[in-house]
Order: sequence, then structure tokens, then C-alpha cells
Amino acid sequence: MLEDPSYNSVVRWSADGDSFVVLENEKFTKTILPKHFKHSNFASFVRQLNKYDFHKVRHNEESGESPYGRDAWEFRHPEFRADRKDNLDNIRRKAPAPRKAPPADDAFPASQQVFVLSESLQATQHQIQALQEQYGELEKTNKLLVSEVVSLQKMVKAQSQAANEVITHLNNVEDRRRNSRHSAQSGPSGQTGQTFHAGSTGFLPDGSDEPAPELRRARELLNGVSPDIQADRELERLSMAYNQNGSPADSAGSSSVMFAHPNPGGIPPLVHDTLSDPRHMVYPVGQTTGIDPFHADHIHNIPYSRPLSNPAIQADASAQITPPLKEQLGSIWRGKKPHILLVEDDKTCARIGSKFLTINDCVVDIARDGLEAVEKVNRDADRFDLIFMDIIMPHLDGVSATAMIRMVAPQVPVVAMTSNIRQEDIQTYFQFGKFTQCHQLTSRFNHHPTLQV
Amino acid sequence: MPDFGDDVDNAIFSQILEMDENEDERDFSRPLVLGFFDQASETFEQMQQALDDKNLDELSTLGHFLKGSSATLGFNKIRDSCQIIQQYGHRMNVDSTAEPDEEVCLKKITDALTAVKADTTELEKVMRKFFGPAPDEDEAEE
Repeated sequence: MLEDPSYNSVVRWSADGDSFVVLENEKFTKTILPKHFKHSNFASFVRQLNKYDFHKVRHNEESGESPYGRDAWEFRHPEFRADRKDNLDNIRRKAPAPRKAPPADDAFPASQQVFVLSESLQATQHQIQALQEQYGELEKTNKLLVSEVVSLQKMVKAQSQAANEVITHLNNVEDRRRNSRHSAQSGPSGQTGQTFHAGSTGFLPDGSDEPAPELRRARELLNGVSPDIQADRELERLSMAYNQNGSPADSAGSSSVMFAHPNPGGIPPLVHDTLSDPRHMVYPVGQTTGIDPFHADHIHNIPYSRPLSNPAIQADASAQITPPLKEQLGSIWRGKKPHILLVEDDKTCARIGSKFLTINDCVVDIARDGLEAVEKVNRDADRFDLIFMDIIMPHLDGVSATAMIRMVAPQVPVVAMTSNIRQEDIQTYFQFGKFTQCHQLTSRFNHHPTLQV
Repeated sequence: MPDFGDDVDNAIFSQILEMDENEDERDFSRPLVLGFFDQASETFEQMQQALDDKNLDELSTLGHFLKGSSATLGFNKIRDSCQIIQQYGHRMNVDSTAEPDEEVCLKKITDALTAVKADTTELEKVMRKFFGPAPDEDEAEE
């Protein structure tokens, strides 16, 4: 593997031939490791190396970074040299661990990965389901609106017809009144009177002796509003489409019927249809939409929103598209390692938490209490991608600290960690701390929260 | 990993052990677990002091504190006693109903503290045996 020139940019012997260097951690893990091992997990690879007494070559502060770049991992074993293949037999496991055979050792990370992947898949599915429900809801609303508009149109049409009838009637009445006056007087004053009489079926007169101007204006108004034929046809089409698709009863009735029973029959079948309809089952690849973090379904399946890459849209994050979830879940973080602030007063928890995060290739900063956490965030609000926050701490508790952090860094996801499992406590945390998520202590390490989040 | 019995959540504890880069040196889990026992004995002293002062609020805080680390390590029995201390510190029974009688609370906490001290001593012995004597400070691995 080290001698293959095509891997040269990823992993190769060092210049002296007495050590080897992994230059591109991510590529190495994804493409090369699986060809030689049963896993693609860099941490296990390192563990294996350590077992065989390889050591990571450290570069101390004075000499600066490794000559191979900051992210390069260089490993050395005294007997492992490019020019001494015969020495390979001298590389052995140090005091082999009696309890575990190497294959079992490999199997664990693999199953772990499968677990993580299935977790992420589940999270994605949850989100898609939420989207579909939302979509169904929107469709339903739209359908209601369209049918409402259609029936309003009908009503308007009927009203205008009625108004026309009334006007006609009034005209006739007027005519008759005039005519009777005319005939009673038999005077010359109405030279057009005869015409009137002849046309008493409701024609508008165009002579000087017109009916009341109010009636004329009313008719002009009615005639002046001509419906938009184009839009009407489109509406008609939509209305038909909805009738075929959904429950026809809803859109057919008059508006009063519709508003009296808009939902009971409507929602469930429609939403259900949407969900089971195979047309809607296309899963968006590598993209997911922000969800309501407080929705019970999602409490444990929040997508990691990587606020620093696009802080502008975070203000209404719940409605925005967040960066691809799958990308985040690659075995090694793509691009920049996440910078995580762990706020925990308990030494044991802090230690184990930071170890866990480090194993998963995160940069970890620890604060011992809320005050320290607020201080750290204040110093550089954009520094952290994620904050894990204990609740009960000396000096400043996690809820208050989070509330303060929200003032300078509203976009950073803050995950509450607590062993308090009372529901009302958790409610309080969300309410006052605006936490993104609440994770209960007892389960947090078994469930790989960092990878899930 | 040996079975530590019902007092330890073996699933959680084995995960802690998995985090060791090297199963022989255990340079992550050893200081972590042994550190816990130092932390525990300090906390027990503070609890005793708070008991003497009849300071229930302090007892609740201390109970919560040690509950966190014991739960993280999977030390269930210790965790449960800490939960009891935390609850009665809050003037509540374990089922979260109110217990207005402070004397009852103090009595319950005294019992729980006695029990948890004994359990911890016992567990510390088991753990020290498991981890063995501290090795020479090796070159720290990654």
C-alpha cells in the first residue's frame, strides 16, 4: 500500500524511509482502508497500529508543524523501514490482549458505523415524513382556497345577476310610472314617451328622459367588472384536479358548507395519501430541511445545522434548508473539524465527553461552569459549531448561560445534557434556554450524540 | 471484561473501556475511574458537612453532582443512592411527591449516604483490582 504510487498523495513513506505518513486522512479512510481492512475507521486503524507498537510521530511546538502538513499523521516503528522488508517479522503485537481476537476488534467499529448510519437514515426519514406531512397540509390548504375562490365566484356571479334583475325591475317600474304620468297628462312634454312605452321590456332609454341615474350607475358598475377568463379557467382546472385527487365533497359545496366541515374528512385521507403515494417517496439525497426542533419526533433527530457556514439564514433556521446531513456523517468530517464547547463542572463527565468527541475527530474546548462558557463564547462568538451544556453547575447554571450565549451567538446549537429526567424540567430548559436539544445523561454516550446531531 | 455484577452497568462501563487506545495501559479509563473515587470521597465529606449543617439544598446539589459522574461510568448503585440524596434534598420522596418533614429528609439522606459510602468503598476495591497497579508513565498515546 505504501509503495503504490497512485496512493502517493494520500499515504506514503516519509522521506527518510523510517516512517510512513497519512497525508489525507479522509481519503485514506474512505478509499484505502477498506481495501486492506474490514473497516473504514481511522481510529481503529490507529488503535491497531498502537497495538503493534507503532507510534505517532509528534512535532513539538518549537519545530512547528509536521513537514507533511497540519493534518498529516506520521507513524513510526523502529523495525518498519522502506528498505528492510526482512525486518517485518520483528513487528509483533505487544503482549497480545488475551480476551479479544483482532477480528472481533474490527467488527465493533463496523457495527458501530452501521448503527450510526442507520441512526442518520432514521433521522432523515423522520424529516422527510415531516416534510410530507407539511406538504400534504399545504396541498389541503391550497385545495380549500381554490374551491373557496370558485364558490365565491359563483356567488358573485349570482349576486350580479340578482342585481341586474333588480335594476331591470326598477327600470320597468319607473317606466310604468312615467308612462302613466305621460298618458295622464297627455302632454307634449314627453315626445319620446311613446318610444318608451313601446320598449317597456327593460331597455335602457337613451333619450333625455332617462331613468334614475342611480340605476344607470349601478348597471355600469356591474358591467364594468369583467371576470378574468384566463385565471378562471386555471382555477377551474385546479378545482377539477383536486376533485379527482382528494375528497370531492369538500370543494363542491358552497362556502358555508365548506367552512362548517372543512377538516374532519379532509385531513387524514389526504395526508395518508401523500405519504403512501409512491410519487412522494423520492428521498432528497444529501439534503434536508430544517425542522421544528421542539417537535417530539425530532428531539433526538436534529440535523446538525453548521451555523458558521451560512449565519445569515439562521435567523429563521426552522424554515430553512440546512446543509446536507449525510455529508456531516461521513466517518471523518468533511472540511473543517467541528469545534465544540463542552460545558461541564464534573471532571469525570468532562473528561469522558471530551475524549469521546476527540475520538470522533472534533476539536474540544472545555468550560468548567456557565461563566466560563459565556466568557469563551463572548471572546469569539463564531468559534464554536456546537455547545454541549450541563444544566446544574456552580457560579452560573446552564440555562442562564445558554440564555446569555443566545444574545451573542443566536445560531449556535446548544445541546443540554442532564440527568434530570422530569418532563417539566426539560420544558423549562427549552423555554428559557432556547436549547436546540436536550439529551439525557444516562443515554448520551451509548447513542453517539455527536454523530447524530 | 469481567462481569462487575448488577451494581455496574456493564454495557456503559465496557464502552468506557473501549475508548482506551491500549487495553494493557488503559491510560484513559484508569485515571478516569480512579479519579471518580477521589471525587466521590471528597463529595461524601461535603455531604457529611452539609448533613451536619442540615443544609438540604446543598445536599441536593451534591447528590446531583455525583449522580452525573456515577451514571456516566455506569455505576448504577452509586447513582441510585445519589438520586435519593438529591430527591430528599429537594424535600421530595423518590417518586417526586413532596416530603415536607425536613427531619425525615435528613434521616433518609443519612441512610443513603451511609449506604453509598459502603458501596463505593466496595466498588473501589474491585476497580483497583481490575486496573491493577499504575504502570510507569508511558509515552502518552494519541
